[in-house]
Amino acid sequence: MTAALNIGSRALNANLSALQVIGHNIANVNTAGYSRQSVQMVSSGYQTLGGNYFGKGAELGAVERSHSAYLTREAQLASSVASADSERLKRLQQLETLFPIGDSGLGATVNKMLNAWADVASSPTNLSARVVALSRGEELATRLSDTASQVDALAYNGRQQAVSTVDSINRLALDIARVNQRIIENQGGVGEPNDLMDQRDALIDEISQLVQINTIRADDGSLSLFVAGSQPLVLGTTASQLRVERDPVDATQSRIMFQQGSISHPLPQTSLGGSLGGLMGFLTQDLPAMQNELGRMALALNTTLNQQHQLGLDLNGQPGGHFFVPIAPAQAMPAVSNTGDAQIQTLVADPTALKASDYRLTVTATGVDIVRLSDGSSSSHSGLPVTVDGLRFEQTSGASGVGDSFLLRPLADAARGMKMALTAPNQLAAASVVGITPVAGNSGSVAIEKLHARTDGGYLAEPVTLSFLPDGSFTVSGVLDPANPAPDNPLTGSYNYTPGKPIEFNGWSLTLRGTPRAGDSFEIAPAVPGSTPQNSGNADAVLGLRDLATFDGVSLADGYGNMLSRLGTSVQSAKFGAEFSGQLATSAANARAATSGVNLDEEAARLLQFQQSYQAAAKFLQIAQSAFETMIGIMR
Amino acid sequence: MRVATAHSYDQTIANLGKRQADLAAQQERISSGKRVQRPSDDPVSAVLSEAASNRMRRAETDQRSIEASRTSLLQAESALGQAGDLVQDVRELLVKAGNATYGSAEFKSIAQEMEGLRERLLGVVNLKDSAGRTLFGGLGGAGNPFAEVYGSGSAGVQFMGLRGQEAAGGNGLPQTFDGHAVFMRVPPGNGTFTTELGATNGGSVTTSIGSVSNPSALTGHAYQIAFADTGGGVYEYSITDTTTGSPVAGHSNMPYTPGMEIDVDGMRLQLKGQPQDGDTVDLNPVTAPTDIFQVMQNAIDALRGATGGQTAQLTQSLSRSLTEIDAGFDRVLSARAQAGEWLNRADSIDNLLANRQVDDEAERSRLEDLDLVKGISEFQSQQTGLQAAMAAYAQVQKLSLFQYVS
Repeated sequence: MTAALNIGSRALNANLSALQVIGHNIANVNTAGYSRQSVQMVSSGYQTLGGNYFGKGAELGAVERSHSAYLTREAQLASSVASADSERLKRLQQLETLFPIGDSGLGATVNKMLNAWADVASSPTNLSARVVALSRGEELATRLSDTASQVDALAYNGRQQAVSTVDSINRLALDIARVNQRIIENQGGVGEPNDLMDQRDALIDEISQLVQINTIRADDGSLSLFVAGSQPLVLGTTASQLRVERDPVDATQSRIMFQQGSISHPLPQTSLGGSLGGLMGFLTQDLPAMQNELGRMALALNTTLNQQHQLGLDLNGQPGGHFFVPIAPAQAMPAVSNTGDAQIQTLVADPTALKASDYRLTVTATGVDIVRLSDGSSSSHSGLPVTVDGLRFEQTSGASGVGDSFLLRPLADAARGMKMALTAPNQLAAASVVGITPVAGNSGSVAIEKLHARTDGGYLAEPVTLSFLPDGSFTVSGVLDPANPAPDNPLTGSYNYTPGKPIEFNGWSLTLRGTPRAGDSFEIAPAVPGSTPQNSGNADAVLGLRDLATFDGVSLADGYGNMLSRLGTSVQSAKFGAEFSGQLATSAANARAATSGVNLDEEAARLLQFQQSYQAAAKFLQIAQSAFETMIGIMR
Repeated sequence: MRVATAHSYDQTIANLGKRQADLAAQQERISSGKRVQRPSDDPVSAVLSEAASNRMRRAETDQRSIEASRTSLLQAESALGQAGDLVQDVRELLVKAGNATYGSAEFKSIAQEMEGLRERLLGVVNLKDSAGRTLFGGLGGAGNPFAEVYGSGSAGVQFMGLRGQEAAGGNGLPQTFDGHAVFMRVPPGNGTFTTELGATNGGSVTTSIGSVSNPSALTGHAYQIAFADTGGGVYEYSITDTTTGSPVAGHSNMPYTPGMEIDVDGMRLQLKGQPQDGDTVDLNPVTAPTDIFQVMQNAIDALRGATGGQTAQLTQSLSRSLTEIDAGFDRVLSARAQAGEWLNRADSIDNLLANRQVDDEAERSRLEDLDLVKGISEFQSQQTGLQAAMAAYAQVQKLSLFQYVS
């Protein structure tokens, strides 16, 4: 009789526990990281009575959580990748807003500045045209330095963000270590401490968003976390720390260090994963690349314009000065391990050959190796000074030891330093330093389209006479630069004449049009003092810079388009990447939720199921009780 | 597959959010009319449209330069017109001075008038355009390209600009004329030689301006025709090559008849009037061009110096000035024609640039702007999608087993 009562009460208990678990599920339907729990009912065994086996009813087996370690791991990994991608995208989009297209863009400013010289060329004596050219130059310089400082601000914010992300990671690592501790303490029962494990999974979810981690489960139930592949962030119940520090070589950069006890070492910055990885990828790759692009534009504009401006004469007949304040030579950053004390710097030698890249210079036993960091191409040289990619590398002081290496960022600071040097409109060098005089008695119709100095190789001041021969070709005489082109008319040893095609000798460029007659000659000599205010040869030359192939063959005027395409494509690919990894993360989260998530309809069904079981068990108990009472009544 | 309730809500909310964001982005595109707002929207289009904008700005600048050239050329053209009128006025005065009844008083007043015209011409050739650039300065030089200089040996108007003519390039036009070529290169005499009467001539012999009869026979030497009285009013002439000092064969002591033409070493000229014994005519080769101011000055000097009414010298001098003035006028006229041609070219370049701007604008718009029909229809379909998603959400969230459990 008592057996029946026992069965009844055990069933009541078991079903009530099941209802309790269902209630817990329903209550936690919206709890992040909660895994659905279920009750395992087990038969309570049997007893033998007269050779027969009688069951003893059912009892609660274990409360288990629906959890797949594999799916959880998958979801955490996918969310790491997704948050790295979306962080990088977010930063890149911020960067993109600094480089607008159309009339508000830097490209328009560059073109406005260069085009303003057309008005100076039209009326070199008109001071207001000169003032416009000056203020356009001012606008461009300000625009470039503003953009550079906004990029700097992005970098600064990024580094601040890295510091606070690292703080969060450290806090979460500590929390996980604590939860590990509690889980170890609670081990040893029949069931597992489901809710503690859920809590730990939630913490790992959170840390996965920030940095990619690998987990290894120990026998005691604790979970160890590794960052960057193999660095133990949490080992059982102890947590290590990450730290942000300034790069010892390039103080403008930060790097993430792994700190274990008193020892710290740098982590690979770009393979950290999570939003920290995305951020560091942006800070160490995308941002410097754009800084270099911007710097190259500034440096090329600064140098080409200054060079041409200095080849002209201002309104007072004085040689032109600097248009922009020249950008100071970039100093090399020596590696910490250097044994020598050499100081190395770079100067612009050829503004049209610049590459948007940083360089690493290594001193070897036989000279120096210079590596262009953007594509890794390396070149060996017998020593300094040497010119690579339009940059002259030179040693200013000290001595270098073999194996010393230097990081060079020749373009990084260029845009920041853009400033106008010229202030007075009459200092604008619009006139050409060389003049041309048709020799009296010329009878052809040759007229002069352009004449200006192109480069000063020391021969600009030498008078040159250009004389036309009966076949229409011409000879040049005077003191000639050995670098002048060779005659291209083999019959007469003269130069062929093409109307409208620049004739370049001794550093000047002359464009003639019209038909020459035999014996016509022109004398090219330094401009007559006092004759220059009406001349605009150098303003024409500055206008000609618009078509100068500067940025890997792209003209100075279209250089901004180059930057846009680079930035646009990287934002676009980051967007595609973020969408793709976001989808992967969503589907991994879906798969995980399908296993671990609470479905209210299911819980409702189970609620009814166990409610009915409970009612049935209660009924059974009632029947058992009444049977018992019947028997008592017989006895009475 | 099980659907986790909370997760499905999260997903739905995330999807609704994404659709709303897409809708907002499309709305932004429609309201700004731009398909490409950031380089990343379409990097290739962004770069191409940036290049098209640059070309447009370039064309605008070129148009401005053309406009500046056109303004200067218009002013130069009208200055050349004025200069032509002044030269014509001088010519009329020269013709008027040929009046046989005029005496020194009339000559003085004509000279005075001519002096005034010369002054005015000097003003015209020093004109500047509205931006301060000289109209006739050539390749540059002083602010006033023509300056009257007094001094021994170089008295007269000198060109202080820079000789040489600016050329019209592909898209550019010159703004200034080479004033030296226009005003300072007047051929003296007939361009090959000049004829001058001896200063002490007492007869009435004058000559025509002369011409070249045989270019290959020209020697470039100076010659002198001397008249001798053989008695009885019969005159002979002899020609000496003064460069070599030897008499010219066939022209020694030849009989002279007024109105006869003589041809010596490729030069032909007509001799008129009655000589006196010892009268001479010099034939000098032209070595350098003169200038229009000098031509005027010569006429003025001749008129001022004419105290004895119409002398042979005055007639000779005035007729030479007339020829030279005409030659000078021709140069002004041809410069004016050149200005007209350039102005025509300015119009065609202007049109070309305007067309190019339209093309570039069309290209920029094609690359960058939103096709509104397409954009709005996309907006509509996105809107429908969002509405459907919301309706589905509202329906699904009503479905719960708990509603049927009581």
